[in-house]
Amino acid sequence: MAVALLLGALSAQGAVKEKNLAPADFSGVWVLSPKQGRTYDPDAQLKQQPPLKPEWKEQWDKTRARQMAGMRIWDPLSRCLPPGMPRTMSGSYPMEILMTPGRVTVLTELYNETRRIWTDGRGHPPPDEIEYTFVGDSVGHWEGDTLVIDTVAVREESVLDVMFIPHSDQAHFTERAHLKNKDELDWTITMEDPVVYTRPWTVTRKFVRAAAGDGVREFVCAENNQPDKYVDSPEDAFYEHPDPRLKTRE
Amino acid sequence: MKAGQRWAAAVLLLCGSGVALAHHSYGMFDRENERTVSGVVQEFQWTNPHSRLLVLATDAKGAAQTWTIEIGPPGQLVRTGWKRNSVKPGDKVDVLINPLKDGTPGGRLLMVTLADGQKLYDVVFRTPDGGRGGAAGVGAEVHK
Repeated sequence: MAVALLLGALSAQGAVKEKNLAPADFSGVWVLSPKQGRTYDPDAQLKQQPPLKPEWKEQWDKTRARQMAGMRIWDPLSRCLPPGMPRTMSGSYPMEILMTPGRVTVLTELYNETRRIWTDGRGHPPPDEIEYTFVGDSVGHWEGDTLVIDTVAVREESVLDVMFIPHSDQAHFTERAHLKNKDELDWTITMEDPVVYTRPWTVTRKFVRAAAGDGVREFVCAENNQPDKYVDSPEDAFYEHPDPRLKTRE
Repeated sequence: MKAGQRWAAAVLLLCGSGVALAHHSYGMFDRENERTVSGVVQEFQWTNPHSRLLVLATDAKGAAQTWTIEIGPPGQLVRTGWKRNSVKPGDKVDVLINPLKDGTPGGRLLMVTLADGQKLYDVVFRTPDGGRGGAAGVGAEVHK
């Protein structure tokens, strides 16, 4: 009896283990690689100008000029809104990855965002049911030992990174995550957006395992946020919100 | 290793960690100017999205003034050697800052020197050779 119970328990455990067997194990705490050096390589990025449509290039140049001059620009973080996709993957603070059956979970330190990446075979909800969120709706599948993540329904409030490149709510992000070795995790993000970009474009993040003992910390923005003081002008008011043209859903 | 090299090394480390600050534009700070304020710590706010140090100093006319000094968030500071009690009320400090443009007493911390000589840096610290520390995400500093 006891043996049968034990065997039953062992085989149940075996089944769980088997189900849990993703082709690669990303679990752990990751930080941006010193080789990458910056959250967003501005030099490389300048060489590879983001493929903005002319009207958005004009808008972005204006934003950058205002940013350089220390004037108000749209930045969700100043309002304690989270970075969202894809900025949440900038690696500027550590992120922790959990691997459990049917999903990969990314927990970020900056604004403590959670990405639930479903790998159980489900697709995105139907267009009229999908919820638009800051991190978007993510489903993943494995191609060999590369995790391919498909993300849609990202709110237009988020910007790509500290370069403040915009995206619309029609943006589509495809990420490819691959464990180069046990301590290096390569992660590319391909961005498509029929509203803002002329073609798909890709940025690469290289993550390395965080030092032993380093982990994701609590980050509650509302604790002590003291937004800028500005002299308001009609132009400033425009930057209170993301560009209204970025919101296309009904 | 000379102090300067140590600073540069610390700063390289910071760059490597890919620090990114963007909670606001930083436009209110005069990044072309640095000044040192000497005084006594009134309060140390170990908080997100920014830490703050309130320093009571005496102005040229002898009047006491509180300087509000903004610092990076705890998550970045601990990774550069700070602790939540590195600075305590009553401590005498020298703070090197980029002052506020509008002239009100305050600024963005670059470095704090404690009474025992220990120096702690912020992620926007500028190296003696003119480089910048942790500039990756600091808005306009990304592009020159």
